[in-house]
Amino acid sequence: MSSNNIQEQKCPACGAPMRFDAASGKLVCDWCGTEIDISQDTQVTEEQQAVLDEKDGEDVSGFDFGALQHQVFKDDAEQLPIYHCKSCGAELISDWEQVTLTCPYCKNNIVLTDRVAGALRPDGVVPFRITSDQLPGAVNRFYKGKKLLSKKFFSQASMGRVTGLYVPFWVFSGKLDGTVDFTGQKSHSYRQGDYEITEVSHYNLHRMVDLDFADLPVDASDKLDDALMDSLEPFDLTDVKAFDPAYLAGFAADRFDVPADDMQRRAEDRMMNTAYESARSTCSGYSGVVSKGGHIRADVKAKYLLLPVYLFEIMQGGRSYSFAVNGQSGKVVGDLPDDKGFKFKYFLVRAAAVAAATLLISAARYFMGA
Amino acid sequence: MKRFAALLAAVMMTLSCAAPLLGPAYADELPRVIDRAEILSQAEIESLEEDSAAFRETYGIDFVFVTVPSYDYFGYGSELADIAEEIYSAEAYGDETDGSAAFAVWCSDVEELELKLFGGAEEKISDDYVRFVLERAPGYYDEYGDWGPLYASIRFCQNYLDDHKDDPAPVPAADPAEPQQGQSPAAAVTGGKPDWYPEDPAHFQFFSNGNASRVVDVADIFSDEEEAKIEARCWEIIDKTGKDVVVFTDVSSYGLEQNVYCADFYDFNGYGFGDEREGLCLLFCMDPDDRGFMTVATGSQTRALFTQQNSNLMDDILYEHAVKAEYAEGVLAWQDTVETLYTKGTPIAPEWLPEIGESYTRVHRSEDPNAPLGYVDDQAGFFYPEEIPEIEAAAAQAADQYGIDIMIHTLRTPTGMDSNEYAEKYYFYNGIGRGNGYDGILLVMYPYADSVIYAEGSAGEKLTDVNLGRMAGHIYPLTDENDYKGAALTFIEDTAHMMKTGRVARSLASWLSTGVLGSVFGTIFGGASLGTAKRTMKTPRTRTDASDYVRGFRLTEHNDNYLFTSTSRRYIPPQRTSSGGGHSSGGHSSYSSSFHSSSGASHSSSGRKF
Repeated sequence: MSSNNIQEQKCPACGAPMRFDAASGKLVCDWCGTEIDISQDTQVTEEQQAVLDEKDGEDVSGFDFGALQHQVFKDDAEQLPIYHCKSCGAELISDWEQVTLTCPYCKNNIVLTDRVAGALRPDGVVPFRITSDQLPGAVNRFYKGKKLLSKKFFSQASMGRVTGLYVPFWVFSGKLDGTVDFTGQKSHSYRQGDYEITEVSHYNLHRMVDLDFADLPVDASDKLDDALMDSLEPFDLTDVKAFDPAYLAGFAADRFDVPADDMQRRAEDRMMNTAYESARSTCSGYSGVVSKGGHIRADVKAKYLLLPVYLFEIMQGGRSYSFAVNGQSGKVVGDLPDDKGFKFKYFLVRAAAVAAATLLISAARYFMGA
Repeated sequence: MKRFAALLAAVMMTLSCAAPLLGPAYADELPRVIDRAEILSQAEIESLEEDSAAFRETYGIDFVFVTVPSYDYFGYGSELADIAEEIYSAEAYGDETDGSAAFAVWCSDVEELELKLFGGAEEKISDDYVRFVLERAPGYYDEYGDWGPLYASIRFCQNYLDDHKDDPAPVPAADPAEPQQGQSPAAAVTGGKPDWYPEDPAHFQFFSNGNASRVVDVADIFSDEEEAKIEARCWEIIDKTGKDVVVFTDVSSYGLEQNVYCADFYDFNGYGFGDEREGLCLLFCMDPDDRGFMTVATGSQTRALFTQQNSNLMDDILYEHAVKAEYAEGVLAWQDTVETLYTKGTPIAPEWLPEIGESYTRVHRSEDPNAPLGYVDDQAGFFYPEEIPEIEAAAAQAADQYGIDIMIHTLRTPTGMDSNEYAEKYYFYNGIGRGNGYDGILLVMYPYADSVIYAEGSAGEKLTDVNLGRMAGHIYPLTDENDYKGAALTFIEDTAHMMKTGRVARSLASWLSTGVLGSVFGTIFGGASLGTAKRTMKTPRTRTDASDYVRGFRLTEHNDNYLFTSTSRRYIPPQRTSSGGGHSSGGHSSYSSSFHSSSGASHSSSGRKF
C-alpha cells in the first residue's frame, strides 16, 4: 500500500497532529492550541446532501454487499496491508476493519482513506458529543440504584483504557404492509338450574396493517456484542453529519463486516414483531388472542452511518467487565458482578427486617391493649 | 277428611276398574326397582314395586324405576336414556306383545330424571307430556327425597293415561295445579273453588266476623275433642292479646300458592281484629301432591313480630309434630308460640323475660329472689355436677379480686332472639353485675351456635373488640370439642388477666403463628426485592422490537368473522340450608316477608312441606 491511501489531520500552524474534540466539535491542536471548525469545511454541502438523499432512497438489496465481502475476504487471504506514515515515514500495519490509526512513532492521527472510499464511504457520521472526561460521572450515575453492587466493587474497581470508537451501523427506514390473522374468543356464563353454562364464541380476526419505520440502527460490526449495541439505543440521528475523515481524528473507527442478509433480517425481524404487536393491539374486546400468522411485506432501505461509542473495561477481583457508552447521550450499559453471597445477604436482611417488624408491631399492639 | 277419602276412593276405583286392552304377559320375576345408587329404603322399594305392578296391570305398560350413581352416569359418558336402553335391551322388560315399557331413571347426585318410553308406550304417552314430567317430577326431590321424583313420574303418567284413555291420539295434558296463562289466580280456581270465595275477589269489601269459628277443619284431621281444645286455646289467646288466631285445614289449595290460599281464607271470612285485621292464620294443606303447612301474618304489629327467625322457630316446632301426623299436638304447641310471640316478642321466651309493655325495674340479683344464684346457670346441662363447684370457686375468686360479677350460662333451647340479644337481656333482667355500673361479664354457651360474651361497667370498658376476639379465639375451640368446663375456666382466667392488665393474654400458638406469618411476609418481601434488584444489574438486552422507530401506523382493513360457539357446563350442587334462624329441627321454611292475597291485601307468610 502506498501513502496515497492515508489522510493525516495535521495542524496548519505547527504541523502537529490534530484530534477531534467532542466538547467543542472542532479539530484541536494540543501543541499550539489551534482550533479548526469542521463545519466550515465539512458542512453538508448540497452535493453531499444529494448523496445522502440518494442513499436514503437506495434499496439495501441494491448495495453490492457481495462484492464488498468478496473484497474483504480476498484481502484477508493475502498479507495485511502496509501503510506509510506521511509525517515520519514509518511503516504501519492495520486490521482490515480498521479505518483509523495512530502512528506509534510520531503520534500522528491517520485515516485510511481507502477503507472509507467509494462504496465503503459512510453516508454520514454522528460525532461524539461527550468527552472521555465525562465518562466517570456517567458511570457513577449508572451505578446508582444497583443495590446488588457491593461496596467492595466501588473501592477496588478501576476503569481500564477507554476507547472512543466509531461503530459502523446500518440504519434502516422503510415500510411494512400486509395482513395478519388472529383467533380470539368472547365468552359469557349464565346459570341454568344446577349448572353454570359457559358459552365461548370463537372468531377469526383479520387485520390489514401499514407501518412506517425510520432510522432503526443495526450494528454492522461482528466484533461487538449485538445486545450491548442494542442497549445503547436510542441515537439522535438528527445530528448526523456528512462524512468527513476529520471527525475520526483521535478516535478508533471500524468499517462494517457483517453479511448483508443477517443485517437486513435482524432489522426486518424487529419491524415484523412490532407490526404483529400493533395488529394485535387492535383486537380489543377479545380474550385468548392468538396469531395464526399472516403475510407482511417489507420494503426497507439502509444508510451506512458511523455512530459514536466509548468502550472500556472495569477490572475487579481479577475479572474484567465490559461496558459501552453511547457517545452521544452518555447512556452506559454493561454487565455487573454477580456476587451470590452478597445477594443472599441482601435477601436475608430484608426478609428478617420485615419478619421482625411484623412481630414488633404485633407485640406493641398486644402490650398497648389494642 | 271426607273429601280426601272420596278422592282416594276415586283413584282406587280407576286403578281397579281400568282393564288392560290386551292380555299382555310380563317377566314377573324381574325387579321393577333397580336401585343401583343404593339410595332407596326397603320400604320405598317395596312401595314402588307395588305401584309398578298396579300400573302394569291397569295400563299395560311395564314401569321400571332405576337409580344410578353419578359415576355410572358420567363414567361411561352415557346419558340416562342410554342406561334405560341398556337395561331394556338386556332384560325381558315390557309387554311381550308390543314391548310397552317406561323407564324412570333418576340420578340423585345431579338431580336429573329421564323418562324413557319403549314399544307401545311411545304411542300411549306423548313426547310433550314426557317433557312435562321431566320438568316437574325432579321438583319433588326436595320434599320427598329420591323416592319423590320416581313416584311423581308414575303418578303423572297415571294421570295422563286416565285423562286420555278415550283419546285416539295423545295430547299433552296441562298441569292441573298450574293456572292457565292469561287467567287470574282467582279464575284458576273457577269450577272448584270453596263456597266462601267471593265472585270478585279484587273488589272484596273486608268485614269483621268476631264470632266465627277459629278452627275450620275441612281436611278432617282433628277429632272433635281436639278441635274443641284448639278452638278454646284460640279464644284464650285472642282474649289475652287482642290478636286473631285461626286454624284452617283443607285437602287442596285449589291451584293457588298455599300462602295466597291461606290469606284468602283469612281475608274473605272476616277474620282479624282492629283496623289492620291483626292476626295469624295457620293452614294445613293435606293435598297428597302438595302437603304442607303455612302460617300467614296480617296487620303491621303481627307482621313486625313474624320475622324470618321467629317464623322459622315456630315452623320447627310445628314440623316436628306434623311429620309424625300429630296434627293437634302440633297446633297446640304452635299456639303456645303464638301467645309467647304476642306477649314477649319471641316465640319461645324464658320466664324471666317480661311481657311487652310490662314495667321492670333493674335490681341486682342479690335483691331478686327469682334471679339465678352463684356464678353458673347451667340450663343446658353441659357440666357434670362435680365440675360446677370448681368453676364456681374459680369465678368467685376472680370476681372478688377484681370487683366484678362473673356469670356462665348455658342454654339448649333456642329462642327467637339472636344470641347477642339474648345475652344482653339475660344480663339485664337477671340483675347481673356489681355496683352502680353493674360491672360484670357473662358467657353464654349454646350447643348449636357460637358462644357469646357480654360485659358491662368496668368489665365492659376493658372488653375491647381485640380482647373479645382473643377470648373467643380461646373459648371456641374448646366448645367445638364439647369441653365446656375447659371453656368456662378459660373464660374466667382470661377475664382475670384482662381485668388485671387490660388485655387478654395471647397464647403461645398465637405468637408462633404471628412469627410464621412474619417470616412468610419477610420471604415474600425479600424475594421481591431481590428480583427487582437483579433486574437492574443486567443492562445489555437484545431488542426484538422496533416500536421506538414507528413513524406511522394505519389499520387499513379489519374483519371479525364469527366461527363457532363451544359450550361447557359445570355442575353446581344445590345448597340445602334452612332459610330460618340459627337452628332448625328439620325441613326448611319458605318465608315471604310480603305478598298479596287475591283481595290485594298484604301479608307475611312462612311454611313447610311435610
